[in-house]
Amino acid sequence: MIDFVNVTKSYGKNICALKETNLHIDRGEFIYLIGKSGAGKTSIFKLLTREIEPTKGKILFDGYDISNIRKSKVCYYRRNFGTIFQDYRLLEDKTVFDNVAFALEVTGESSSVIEKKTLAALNLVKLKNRKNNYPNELSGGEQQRVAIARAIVGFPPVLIADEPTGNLDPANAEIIMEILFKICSMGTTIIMSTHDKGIVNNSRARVIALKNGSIIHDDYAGRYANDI
Amino acid sequence: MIFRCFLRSLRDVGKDFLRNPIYSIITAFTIFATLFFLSVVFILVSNANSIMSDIEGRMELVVYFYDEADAQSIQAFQTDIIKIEGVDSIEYLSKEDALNKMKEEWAEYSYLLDEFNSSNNPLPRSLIIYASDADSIVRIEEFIYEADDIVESFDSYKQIADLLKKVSNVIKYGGIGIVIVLALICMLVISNTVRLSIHAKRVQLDIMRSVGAANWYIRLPFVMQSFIIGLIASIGASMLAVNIYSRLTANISIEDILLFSGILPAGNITGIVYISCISIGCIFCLVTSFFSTNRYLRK
Repeated sequence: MIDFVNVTKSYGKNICALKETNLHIDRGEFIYLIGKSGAGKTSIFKLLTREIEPTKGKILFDGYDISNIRKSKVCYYRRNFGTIFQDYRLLEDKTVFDNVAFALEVTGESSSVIEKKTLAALNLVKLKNRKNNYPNELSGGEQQRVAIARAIVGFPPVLIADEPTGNLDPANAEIIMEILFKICSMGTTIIMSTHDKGIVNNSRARVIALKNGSIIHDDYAGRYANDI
Repeated sequence: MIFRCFLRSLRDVGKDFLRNPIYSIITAFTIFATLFFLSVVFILVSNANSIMSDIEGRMELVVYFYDEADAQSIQAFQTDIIKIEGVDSIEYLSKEDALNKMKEEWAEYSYLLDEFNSSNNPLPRSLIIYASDADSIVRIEEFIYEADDIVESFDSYKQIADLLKKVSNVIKYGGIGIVIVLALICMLVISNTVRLSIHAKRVQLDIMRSVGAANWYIRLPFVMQSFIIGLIASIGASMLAVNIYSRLTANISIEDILLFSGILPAGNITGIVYISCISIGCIFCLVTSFFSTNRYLRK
Protein backbone atom coordinates (compact mmCIF):
# COMPACT_ATOMS: atom_id res chain seq x y z
CA MET A 1 0.00 0.00 0.00
CA ILE A 2 2.71 2.46 1.02
CA ASP A 3 6.28 2.25 -0.21
CA PHE A 4 9.24 4.45 0.61
CA VAL A 5 11.91 3.80 -2.01
CA ASN A 6 15.39 5.12 -1.08
CA VAL A 7 13.84 8.21 0.42
CA THR A 8 16.19 10.90 1.72
CA LYS A 9 15.01 14.15 3.23
CA SER A 10 17.43 16.96 4.01
CA TYR A 11 16.74 20.39 5.41
CA GLY A 12 19.50 22.66 4.13
CA LYS A 13 23.07 21.35 3.90
CA ASN A 14 23.54 20.11 7.45
CA ILE A 15 20.33 18.47 8.59
CA CYS A 16 19.40 15.07 7.21
CA ALA A 17 16.03 13.96 8.63
CA LEU A 18 15.87 10.67 6.68
CA LYS A 19 18.67 8.77 4.96
CA GLU A 20 17.93 6.38 2.09
CA THR A 21 14.91 4.95 3.83
CA ASN A 22 13.16 1.89 2.41
CA LEU A 23 9.86 0.94 3.89
CA HIS A 24 6.84 -1.12 2.88
CA ILE A 25 3.49 -0.93 4.68
CA ASP A 26 0.60 -3.25 3.84
CA ARG A 27 -3.07 -2.43 4.06
CA GLY A 28 -4.54 -3.08 7.50
CA GLU A 29 -1.23 -3.08 9.36
CA PHE A 30 -0.72 -1.54 12.79
CA ILE A 31 2.74 0.02 13.04
CA TYR A 32 4.52 1.66 15.94
CA LEU A 33 7.03 4.28 14.87
CA ILE A 34 9.50 4.80 17.68
CA GLY A 35 12.64 6.85 18.18
CA LYS A 36 14.00 9.86 20.02
CA SER A 37 13.02 13.42 19.07
CA GLY A 38 14.69 14.30 15.79
CA ALA A 39 14.92 10.65 14.68
CA GLY A 40 12.71 11.29 11.66
CA LYS A 41 9.20 10.15 12.75
CA THR A 42 7.43 13.42 11.98
CA SER A 43 9.31 13.70 8.68
CA ILE A 44 7.87 10.33 7.65
CA PHE A 45 4.34 11.57 8.43
CA LYS A 46 4.90 14.83 6.55
CA LEU A 47 6.37 13.03 3.54
CA LEU A 48 3.46 10.61 3.48
CA THR A 49 0.86 13.41 3.50
CA ARG A 50 2.86 15.44 0.92
CA GLU A 51 3.40 18.32 3.30
CA ILE A 52 7.03 18.10 2.27
CA GLU A 53 8.73 16.38 -0.66
CA PRO A 54 11.70 14.01 -0.51
CA THR A 55 15.13 15.31 -1.48
CA LYS A 56 15.81 11.96 -3.16
CA GLY A 57 13.82 8.80 -3.75
CA LYS A 58 10.11 8.33 -4.17
CA ILE A 59 7.03 7.47 -2.19
CA LEU A 60 4.37 5.21 -3.66
CA PHE A 61 0.78 5.08 -2.45
CA ASP A 62 -1.11 2.12 -3.92
CA GLY A 63 1.62 2.00 -6.58
CA TYR A 64 1.31 5.67 -7.57
CA ASP A 65 4.26 8.04 -7.11
CA ILE A 66 2.82 10.82 -4.97
CA SER A 67 5.34 13.39 -6.22
CA ASN A 68 3.42 13.30 -9.52
CA ILE A 69 0.32 14.71 -7.83
CA ARG A 70 -0.24 18.33 -8.84
CA LYS A 71 -0.22 20.87 -5.99
CA SER A 72 -3.85 21.74 -6.61
CA LYS A 73 -4.84 18.06 -6.24
CA VAL A 74 -2.85 17.27 -3.09
CA CYS A 75 -5.88 18.07 -0.95
CA TYR A 76 -7.77 15.16 -2.55
CA TYR A 77 -4.82 12.82 -1.89
CA ARG A 78 -4.83 13.87 1.80
CA ARG A 79 -8.37 12.54 2.13
CA ASN A 80 -6.75 9.10 2.29
CA PHE A 81 -5.41 10.01 5.71
CA GLY A 82 -6.92 10.70 9.10
CA THR A 83 -4.62 12.44 11.56
CA ILE A 84 -4.64 12.33 15.34
CA PHE A 85 -2.49 14.90 17.13
CA GLN A 86 -0.96 14.71 20.58
CA ASP A 87 -2.66 17.99 21.57
CA TYR A 88 -6.07 16.86 20.20
CA ARG A 89 -6.57 20.16 18.24
CA LEU A 90 -10.29 20.42 18.82
CA LEU A 91 -12.18 23.62 18.03
CA GLU A 92 -13.25 25.13 21.34
CA ASP A 93 -16.25 26.98 19.93
CA LYS A 94 -17.80 23.87 18.38
CA THR A 95 -19.61 20.99 20.10
CA VAL A 96 -18.33 17.42 19.98
CA PHE A 97 -20.71 16.68 17.11
CA ASP A 98 -19.65 19.80 15.16
CA ASN A 99 -15.96 19.06 15.71
CA VAL A 100 -16.32 15.63 14.16
CA ALA A 101 -18.70 16.82 11.44
CA PHE A 102 -16.22 19.58 10.51
CA ALA A 103 -13.99 17.04 8.77
CA LEU A 104 -16.84 16.16 6.41
CA GLU A 105 -18.19 19.70 5.99
CA VAL A 106 -14.93 20.93 4.54
CA THR A 107 -14.97 18.17 1.92
CA GLY A 108 -18.44 19.20 0.76
CA GLU A 109 -20.57 16.34 2.08
CA SER A 110 -24.33 16.82 2.33
CA SER A 111 -25.97 17.38 5.72
CA SER A 112 -27.70 13.98 5.77
CA VAL A 113 -24.47 12.09 5.07
CA ILE A 114 -22.62 14.20 7.65
CA GLU A 115 -25.14 13.37 10.34
CA LYS A 116 -25.05 9.62 9.63
CA LYS A 117 -21.29 9.32 9.48
CA THR A 118 -20.68 11.59 12.48
CA LEU A 119 -23.02 9.62 14.70
CA ALA A 120 -21.38 6.38 13.53
CA ALA A 121 -17.92 7.71 14.38
CA LEU A 122 -19.07 8.96 17.81
CA ASN A 123 -20.64 5.59 18.45
CA LEU A 124 -17.35 3.86 17.69
CA VAL A 125 -15.50 5.97 20.27
CA LYS A 126 -18.44 5.68 22.69
CA LEU A 127 -19.18 9.41 22.93
CA LYS A 128 -22.60 9.59 21.31
CA ASN A 129 -24.14 10.76 24.58
CA ARG A 130 -21.68 13.69 24.79
CA LYS A 131 -22.30 15.02 21.30
CA ASN A 132 -23.70 18.34 22.50
CA ASN A 133 -20.88 19.05 24.95
CA TYR A 134 -17.99 21.40 24.25
CA PRO A 135 -14.32 20.31 24.42
CA ASN A 136 -13.68 22.19 27.67
CA GLU A 137 -16.38 20.05 29.30
CA LEU A 138 -14.53 16.83 28.47
CA SER A 139 -11.57 15.04 30.07
CA GLY A 140 -8.29 14.59 28.20
CA GLY A 141 -9.16 11.04 27.25
CA GLU A 142 -12.59 12.06 25.97
CA GLN A 143 -11.10 14.88 23.94
CA GLN A 144 -8.67 12.47 22.31
CA ARG A 145 -11.57 10.14 21.49
CA VAL A 146 -13.33 13.04 19.79
CA ALA A 147 -10.13 13.66 17.82
CA ILE A 148 -10.08 9.98 16.80
CA ALA A 149 -13.72 10.20 15.72
CA ARG A 150 -12.88 13.23 13.58
CA ALA A 151 -9.93 11.40 12.04
CA ILE A 152 -11.96 8.32 11.06
CA VAL A 153 -15.33 9.92 10.21
CA GLY A 154 -14.49 9.92 6.50
CA PHE A 155 -13.29 6.26 6.68
CA PRO A 156 -9.80 6.98 5.40
CA PRO A 157 -7.64 3.95 4.56
CA VAL A 158 -4.74 5.24 6.69
CA LEU A 159 -4.72 6.71 10.18
CA ILE A 160 -1.68 8.68 11.32
CA ALA A 161 -1.44 9.02 15.08
CA ASP A 162 1.27 11.38 16.29
CA GLU A 163 1.78 10.38 19.94
CA PRO A 164 -1.94 10.13 20.66
CA THR A 165 -1.40 8.97 24.25
CA GLY A 166 1.36 11.46 25.01
CA ASN A 167 -0.83 13.67 27.24
CA LEU A 168 -2.89 10.90 28.84
CA ASP A 169 -2.68 8.84 31.98
CA PRO A 170 -2.22 5.05 31.60
CA ALA A 171 -5.91 4.24 32.04
CA ASN A 172 -7.03 6.63 29.32
CA ALA A 173 -4.10 5.60 27.15
CA GLU A 174 -5.34 2.02 27.32
CA ILE A 175 -8.84 3.08 26.24
CA ILE A 176 -7.38 4.95 23.28
CA MET A 177 -5.30 1.94 22.26
CA GLU A 178 -8.36 -0.32 22.43
CA ILE A 179 -10.20 2.02 20.07
CA LEU A 180 -7.25 2.18 17.69
CA PHE A 181 -6.91 -1.60 17.56
CA LYS A 182 -10.63 -1.90 16.91
CA ILE A 183 -10.32 0.56 14.00
CA CYS A 184 -7.36 -1.39 12.66
CA SER A 185 -9.33 -4.62 12.81
CA MET A 186 -11.88 -2.98 10.48
CA GLY A 187 -9.19 -2.68 7.79
CA THR A 188 -7.63 0.72 8.46
CA THR A 189 -3.84 0.97 8.34
CA ILE A 190 -2.56 2.72 11.46
CA ILE A 191 0.88 4.30 11.85
CA MET A 192 1.42 5.53 15.37
CA SER A 193 4.45 7.33 16.77
CA THR A 194 5.05 6.93 20.48
CA HIS A 195 7.59 7.16 23.29
CA ASP A 196 5.53 4.88 25.52
CA LYS A 197 7.47 1.62 26.00
CA GLY A 198 4.64 0.04 27.94
CA ILE A 199 2.16 0.37 25.11
CA VAL A 200 4.58 -0.96 22.53
CA ASN A 201 5.71 -3.91 24.56
CA ASN A 202 2.17 -4.88 25.56
CA SER A 203 0.72 -5.21 22.10
CA ARG A 204 3.23 -7.12 19.91
CA ALA A 205 2.52 -5.16 16.73
CA ARG A 206 5.10 -4.24 14.07
CA VAL A 207 7.71 -1.84 15.46
CA ILE A 208 9.84 0.41 13.25
CA ALA A 209 12.64 2.09 15.15
CA LEU A 210 14.38 5.19 13.83
CA LYS A 211 17.72 6.63 14.87
CA ASN A 212 19.37 9.67 13.26
CA GLY A 213 17.20 9.39 10.16
CA SER A 214 17.73 5.68 9.51
CA ILE A 215 15.57 2.64 10.23
CA ILE A 216 17.59 0.55 12.63
CA HIS A 217 14.91 -1.92 13.56
CA ASP A 218 11.82 -3.26 11.80
CA ASP A 219 10.28 -6.11 13.71
CA TYR A 220 6.90 -7.61 12.94
CA ALA A 221 6.51 -8.73 16.53
CA GLY A 222 8.63 -6.00 17.99
CA ARG A 223 9.46 -4.68 21.33
CA TYR A 224 10.67 -1.25 22.44
CA ALA A 225 14.39 -1.90 22.67
CA ASN A 226 16.45 -0.12 25.30
CA ASP A 227 18.98 1.31 22.87
CA ILE A 228 16.46 3.51 21.05
CA MET B 1 -21.62 20.89 -3.42
CA ILE B 2 -20.15 24.29 -4.28
CA PHE B 3 -23.37 26.03 -3.25
CA ARG B 4 -23.32 24.15 0.07
CA CYS B 5 -19.72 25.17 0.69
CA PHE B 6 -20.57 28.74 -0.30
CA LEU B 7 -23.41 28.88 2.24
CA ARG B 8 -21.25 27.39 4.98
CA SER B 9 -18.53 29.96 4.29
CA LEU B 10 -21.10 32.76 4.37
CA ARG B 11 -22.27 31.55 7.76
CA ASP B 12 -18.66 31.48 9.03
CA VAL B 13 -18.05 35.00 7.70
CA GLY B 14 -21.10 36.25 9.61
CA LYS B 15 -19.92 34.59 12.83
CA ASP B 16 -16.41 36.01 12.44
CA PHE B 17 -17.76 39.51 11.91
CA LEU B 18 -19.90 39.35 15.04
CA ARG B 19 -17.00 37.97 17.05
CA ASN B 20 -14.56 40.72 16.09
CA PRO B 21 -16.08 43.57 14.09
CA ILE B 22 -13.30 46.13 14.69
CA TYR B 23 -10.91 45.04 11.93
CA SER B 24 -13.76 44.70 9.45
CA ILE B 25 -14.97 48.21 10.27
CA ILE B 26 -11.47 49.67 9.90
CA THR B 27 -11.01 47.91 6.57
CA ALA B 28 -14.43 49.06 5.36
CA PHE B 29 -13.70 52.65 6.36
CA THR B 30 -10.36 52.69 4.53
CA ILE B 31 -11.97 51.35 1.36
CA PHE B 32 -14.88 53.79 1.79
CA ALA B 33 -12.52 56.78 2.02
CA THR B 34 -10.52 55.68 -1.03
CA LEU B 35 -13.57 55.09 -3.19
CA PHE B 36 -15.30 58.27 -2.06
CA PHE B 37 -12.23 60.26 -3.03
CA LEU B 38 -12.07 58.42 -6.35
CA SER B 39 -15.76 59.21 -7.00
CA VAL B 40 -15.20 62.90 -6.23
CA VAL B 41 -12.20 63.05 -8.59
CA PHE B 42 -14.20 61.28 -11.27
CA ILE B 43 -17.15 63.69 -10.91
CA LEU B 44 -14.89 66.76 -10.97
CA VAL B 45 -12.92 65.59 -13.99
CA SER B 46 -16.11 64.59 -15.85
CA ASN B 47 -17.60 68.01 -15.23
CA ALA B 48 -14.39 69.76 -16.25
CA ASN B 49 -14.29 67.76 -19.49
CA SER B 50 -17.95 68.51 -20.14
CA ILE B 51 -17.47 72.24 -19.55
CA MET B 52 -14.37 72.22 -21.74
CA SER B 53 -16.25 70.56 -24.58
CA ASP B 54 -18.99 73.15 -24.21
CA ILE B 55 -16.52 76.03 -24.16
CA GLU B 56 -14.35 74.74 -26.95
CA GLY B 57 -17.49 74.52 -29.04
CA ARG B 58 -17.97 78.23 -28.56
CA MET B 59 -15.55 79.92 -30.85
CA GLU B 60 -16.12 83.39 -29.49
CA LEU B 61 -14.19 86.24 -27.94
CA VAL B 62 -15.54 89.21 -26.05
CA VAL B 63 -13.59 92.49 -26.35
CA TYR B 64 -14.12 95.22 -23.72
CA PHE B 65 -13.40 98.84 -24.70
CA TYR B 66 -12.10 101.64 -22.54
CA ASP B 67 -14.81 104.10 -21.44
CA GLU B 68 -12.65 106.89 -23.01
CA ALA B 69 -12.40 105.18 -26.40
CA ASP B 70 -14.18 107.20 -29.10
CA ALA B 71 -16.95 105.79 -31.23
CA GLN B 72 -15.03 106.28 -34.47
CA SER B 73 -12.08 104.20 -33.31
CA ILE B 74 -14.41 101.49 -32.18
CA GLN B 75 -16.19 101.55 -35.56
CA ALA B 76 -12.86 101.30 -37.37
CA PHE B 77 -11.89 98.40 -35.16
CA GLN B 78 -15.09 96.60 -36.10
CA THR B 79 -14.58 97.25 -39.81
CA ASP B 80 -11.03 95.87 -39.69
CA ILE B 81 -11.75 92.86 -37.56
CA ILE B 82 -14.53 91.55 -39.79
CA LYS B 83 -12.03 91.37 -42.63
CA ILE B 84 -9.87 88.83 -40.78
CA GLU B 85 -10.16 85.32 -42.24
CA GLY B 86 -12.20 83.09 -39.98
CA VAL B 87 -14.40 85.76 -38.42
CA ASP B 88 -17.98 84.68 -39.01
CA SER B 89 -19.79 87.65 -37.47
CA ILE B 90 -19.55 90.33 -34.79
CA GLU B 91 -22.07 91.79 -32.36
CA TYR B 92 -21.60 95.19 -30.77
CA LEU B 93 -23.08 95.77 -27.29
CA SER B 94 -23.45 99.26 -25.94
CA LYS B 95 -23.31 99.86 -22.17
CA GLU B 96 -27.12 99.77 -22.08
CA ASP B 97 -27.26 96.57 -24.16
CA ALA B 98 -24.75 94.92 -21.80
CA LEU B 99 -26.79 95.86 -18.74
CA ASN B 100 -30.03 94.53 -20.28
CA LYS B 101 -28.32 91.29 -21.29
CA MET B 102 -26.99 90.76 -17.79
CA LYS B 103 -30.45 91.39 -16.31
CA GLU B 104 -31.81 88.69 -18.65
CA GLU B 105 -29.11 86.19 -17.60
CA TRP B 106 -29.57 86.82 -13.90
CA ALA B 107 -33.34 86.20 -14.20
CA GLU B 108 -34.88 86.20 -10.66
CA TYR B 109 -31.75 87.89 -9.29
CA SER B 110 -31.95 90.79 -11.77
CA TYR B 111 -33.45 93.04 -9.07
CA LEU B 112 -29.88 93.37 -7.79
CA LEU B 113 -29.07 95.40 -10.91
CA ASP B 114 -32.02 97.79 -10.65
CA GLU B 115 -29.91 100.52 -9.05
CA PHE B 116 -27.81 100.84 -12.22
CA ASN B 117 -28.88 103.18 -15.00
CA SER B 118 -27.29 105.16 -17.85
CA SER B 119 -25.48 107.55 -15.48
CA ASN B 120 -23.81 104.93 -13.27
CA ASN B 121 -23.64 101.84 -15.52
CA PRO B 122 -20.31 100.15 -14.72
CA LEU B 123 -20.42 97.74 -17.66
CA PRO B 124 -18.14 98.60 -20.60
CA ARG B 125 -18.97 98.67 -24.30
CA SER B 126 -18.12 95.32 -25.79
CA LEU B 127 -17.81 93.47 -29.03
CA ILE B 128 -18.60 89.76 -29.36
CA ILE B 129 -16.60 88.13 -32.15
CA TYR B 130 -17.76 84.74 -33.51
CA ALA B 131 -14.95 82.71 -35.08
CA SER B 132 -15.22 79.69 -37.32
CA ASP B 133 -12.32 77.65 -35.85
CA ALA B 134 -9.61 77.63 -33.17
CA ASP B 135 -6.87 78.77 -35.57
CA SER B 136 -8.84 81.92 -36.40
CA ILE B 137 -8.98 82.79 -32.71
CA VAL B 138 -5.17 83.00 -32.65
CA ARG B 139 -5.21 85.50 -35.55
CA ILE B 140 -8.01 87.51 -33.93
CA GLU B 141 -6.15 87.63 -30.60
CA GLU B 142 -3.05 88.98 -32.36
CA PHE B 143 -5.17 91.76 -33.91
CA ILE B 144 -6.71 92.60 -30.56
CA TYR B 145 -3.29 92.86 -28.87
CA GLU B 146 -2.35 95.55 -31.44
CA ALA B 147 -5.43 97.62 -30.56
CA ASP B 148 -4.42 98.17 -26.97
CA ASP B 149 -5.24 101.91 -27.19
CA ILE B 150 -8.97 101.21 -27.25
CA VAL B 151 -9.23 97.64 -25.95
CA GLU B 152 -9.10 97.38 -22.17
CA SER B 153 -9.32 93.59 -22.01
CA PHE B 154 -10.82 90.59 -23.73
CA ASP B 155 -12.16 87.17 -22.81
CA SER B 156 -11.43 84.25 -25.00
CA TYR B 157 -13.25 81.01 -24.35
CA LYS B 158 -10.16 79.28 -25.69
CA GLN B 159 -8.12 80.83 -22.89
CA ILE B 160 -10.73 79.73 -20.39
CA ALA B 161 -10.76 76.26 -21.97
CA ASP B 162 -6.94 76.07 -21.76
CA LEU B 163 -7.02 77.12 -18.14
CA LEU B 164 -9.76 74.64 -17.38
CA LYS B 165 -7.77 71.92 -19.10
CA LYS B 166 -4.77 72.68 -16.85
CA VAL B 167 -6.99 72.64 -13.76
CA SER B 168 -8.63 69.43 -14.92
CA ASN B 169 -5.24 67.81 -15.46
CA VAL B 170 -4.08 68.85 -12.01
CA ILE B 171 -7.25 67.38 -10.49
CA LYS B 172 -6.98 64.24 -12.64
CA TYR B 173 -3.29 63.46 -12.10
CA GLY B 174 -3.16 64.75 -8.56
CA GLY B 175 -6.32 62.82 -7.77
CA ILE B 176 -4.95 59.64 -9.36
CA GLY B 177 -1.75 60.02 -7.33
CA ILE B 178 -3.67 60.34 -4.08
CA VAL B 179 -5.98 57.46 -5.04
CA ILE B 180 -2.92 55.26 -5.71
CA VAL B 181 -1.52 56.07 -2.27
CA LEU B 182 -4.91 55.39 -0.65
CA ALA B 183 -5.22 52.16 -2.66
CA LEU B 184 -1.82 50.98 -1.37
CA ILE B 185 -2.94 51.74 2.17
CA CYS B 186 -6.15 49.80 1.49
CA MET B 187 -4.13 46.86 0.19
CA LEU B 188 -2.05 46.84 3.36
CA VAL B 189 -5.12 47.06 5.59
CA ILE B 190 -6.94 44.26 3.73
CA SER B 191 -3.78 42.13 3.74
CA ASN B 192 -3.36 42.66 7.44
CA THR B 193 -6.98 41.87 8.19
CA VAL B 194 -6.72 38.63 6.21
CA ARG B 195 -3.45 37.69 7.95
CA LEU B 196 -4.96 38.36 11.37
CA SER B 197 -8.00 36.26 10.45
CA ILE B 198 -5.75 33.43 9.27
CA HIS B 199 -3.73 33.63 12.48
CA ALA B 200 -6.88 33.60 14.62
CA LYS B 201 -8.13 30.52 12.77
CA ARG B 202 -4.83 28.68 12.36
CA VAL B 203 -5.96 25.58 14.29
CA GLN B 204 -9.09 25.35 12.14
CA LEU B 205 -7.09 25.89 8.96
CA ASP B 206 -4.51 23.25 9.93
CA ILE B 207 -7.32 20.76 10.48
CA MET B 208 -8.87 21.70 7.16
CA ARG B 209 -5.58 21.09 5.37
CA SER B 210 -5.00 17.78 7.14
CA VAL B 211 -8.48 16.41 6.28
CA GLY B 212 -8.07 17.38 2.64
CA ALA B 213 -10.11 20.57 2.24
CA ALA B 214 -9.62 22.04 -1.22
CA ASN B 215 -7.55 25.22 -1.47
CA TRP B 216 -10.50 27.18 -2.83
CA TYR B 217 -12.59 26.14 0.18
CA ILE B 218 -9.89 27.24 2.62
CA ARG B 219 -9.53 30.53 0.78
CA LEU B 220 -13.27 31.15 0.34
CA PRO B 221 -14.25 32.70 3.73
CA PHE B 222 -11.41 35.23 3.62
CA VAL B 223 -12.11 36.23 0.04
CA MET B 224 -15.85 36.44 0.76
CA GLN B 225 -15.25 38.53 3.85
CA SER B 226 -13.15 41.03 1.88
CA PHE B 227 -15.66 41.05 -0.99
CA ILE B 228 -18.60 41.81 1.32
CA ILE B 229 -16.66 44.58 3.08
CA GLY B 230 -15.65 46.01 -0.30
CA LEU B 231 -19.23 45.85 -1.58
CA ILE B 232 -20.71 47.62 1.44
CA ALA B 233 -17.97 50.26 1.48
CA SER B 234 -18.21 50.95 -2.26
CA ILE B 235 -22.02 51.24 -2.18
CA GLY B 236 -21.74 53.65 0.76
CA ALA B 237 -19.00 55.72 -0.91
CA SER B 238 -20.80 56.04 -4.24
CA MET B 239 -24.13 56.83 -2.54
CA LEU B 240 -22.53 59.60 -0.52
CA ALA B 241 -20.71 61.09 -3.52
CA VAL B 242 -23.81 61.01 -5.72
CA ASN B 243 -26.01 62.38 -2.95
CA ILE B 244 -23.71 65.35 -2.29
CA TYR B 245 -23.42 66.06 -6.01
CA SER B 246 -27.20 65.88 -6.50
CA ARG B 247 -27.81 68.35 -3.69
CA LEU B 248 -25.13 70.70 -5.03
CA THR B 249 -26.46 70.74 -8.56
CA ALA B 250 -30.07 71.05 -7.39
CA ASN B 251 -29.57 73.95 -4.98
CA ILE B 252 -26.79 76.08 -6.36
CA SER B 253 -28.03 76.92 -9.91
CA ILE B 254 -24.52 77.35 -11.25
CA GLU B 255 -25.63 77.72 -14.85
CA ASP B 256 -27.54 80.84 -13.88
CA ILE B 257 -24.35 82.46 -12.70
CA LEU B 258 -21.64 81.18 -14.96
CA LEU B 259 -21.30 81.94 -18.64
CA PHE B 260 -21.12 78.28 -19.56
CA SER B 261 -23.53 75.51 -18.85
CA GLY B 262 -21.47 72.34 -19.22
CA ILE B 263 -22.22 71.11 -15.68
CA LEU B 264 -23.48 67.53 -15.87
CA PRO B 265 -26.90 66.86 -14.35
CA ALA B 266 -26.78 64.38 -11.47
CA GLY B 267 -28.85 61.86 -13.42
CA ASN B 268 -26.19 61.67 -16.18
CA ILE B 269 -23.44 60.69 -13.82
CA THR B 270 -25.13 58.57 -11.15
CA GLY B 271 -25.07 55.26 -13.04
CA ILE B 272 -21.41 55.50 -14.04
CA VAL B 273 -20.32 56.45 -10.52
CA TYR B 274 -22.19 53.53 -8.95
CA ILE B 275 -21.02 50.95 -11.50
CA SER B 276 -17.37 52.09 -11.48
CA CYS B 277 -17.16 52.47 -7.73
CA ILE B 278 -18.75 49.13 -6.90
CA SER B 279 -16.81 47.21 -9.57
CA ILE B 280 -13.47 48.71 -8.58
CA GLY B 281 -14.13 48.22 -4.87
CA CYS B 282 -15.21 44.59 -5.18
CA ILE B 283 -12.54 43.54 -7.66
CA PHE B 284 -9.81 45.26 -5.67
CA CYS B 285 -10.85 43.51 -2.45
CA LEU B 286 -11.20 40.13 -4.19
CA VAL B 287 -7.76 40.31 -5.77
CA THR B 288 -5.98 41.60 -2.65
CA SER B 289 -7.50 38.94 -0.38
CA PHE B 290 -6.81 36.22 -2.98
CA PHE B 291 -3.10 37.01 -3.00
CA SER B 292 -2.98 37.45 0.77
CA THR B 293 -4.36 33.93 1.32
CA ASN B 294 -1.94 32.57 -1.28
CA ARG B 295 0.96 33.12 1.10
CA TYR B 296 -0.65 30.82 3.66
CA LEU B 297 -1.60 28.17 1.12
CA ARG B 298 1.90 28.04 -0.36
CA LYS B 299 3.18 26.59 2.92
